[in-house]
Amino acid sequence: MDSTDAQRALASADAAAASVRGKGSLPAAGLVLLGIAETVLILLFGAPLIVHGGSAGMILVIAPLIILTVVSASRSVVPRHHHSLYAILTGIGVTITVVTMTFGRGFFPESWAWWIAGAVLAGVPFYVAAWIEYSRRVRS
Amino acid sequence: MTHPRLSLDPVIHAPVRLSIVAALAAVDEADFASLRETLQVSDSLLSKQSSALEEAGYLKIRKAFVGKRPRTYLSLTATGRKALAVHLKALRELTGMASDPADSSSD
Repeated sequence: MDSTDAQRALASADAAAASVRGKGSLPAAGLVLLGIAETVLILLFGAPLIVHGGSAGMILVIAPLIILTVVSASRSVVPRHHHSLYAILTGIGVTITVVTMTFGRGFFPESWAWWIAGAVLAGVPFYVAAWIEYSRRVRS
Repeated sequence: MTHPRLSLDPVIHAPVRLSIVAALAAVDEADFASLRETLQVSDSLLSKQSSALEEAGYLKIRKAFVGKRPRTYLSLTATGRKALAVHLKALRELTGMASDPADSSSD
């Protein structure tokens, strides 16, 4: 193999890597909407508002996180480190949601500050994921 | 010092295999169809070359279902990533040698 062949091989390797790197992005807008849905659902089924759906409410509150897990795990191309990244983000989201709902119902059922803070925080993992997907798309 | 040519990996030296490994190095995993479209190769060629890479321990093949549809995912192993890094380093050294007359005259 001479220098020209080596250059050609390097160029083809770079091209292959670049073309696959651009694939597998999730829509950032969809992730933001899921984050908003998470916030609204926590306020709806937790805050001293309105509905107290019992365990059905709890399942509905978790639904955006389940959707995030399923969508991120079933995409055709998983970008580098995104398996771990989404596992961490989903884990943080589940923890915030469960803590907000469980402690909120038990100790702060009438505290708007608790529910609003918890609901907003529960949306953050979705917004982080949206930002990561958006910046990936801009870079590629 | 050994000649960089000797560091080239015979398993990923073939153009299609190098493309497969380079593409997979950029992601955690990719499904068979996406990789086939990206590399613009036939099913049989990709299947044959990925089996060779799997036998060498460079590639891991995972079968899964998305809904009712079976899907095959390919990903690089740690050995595969290391082999690609060594191979690319050797290729870069080969290209560098030609541009440096002092190196080529000493061969």
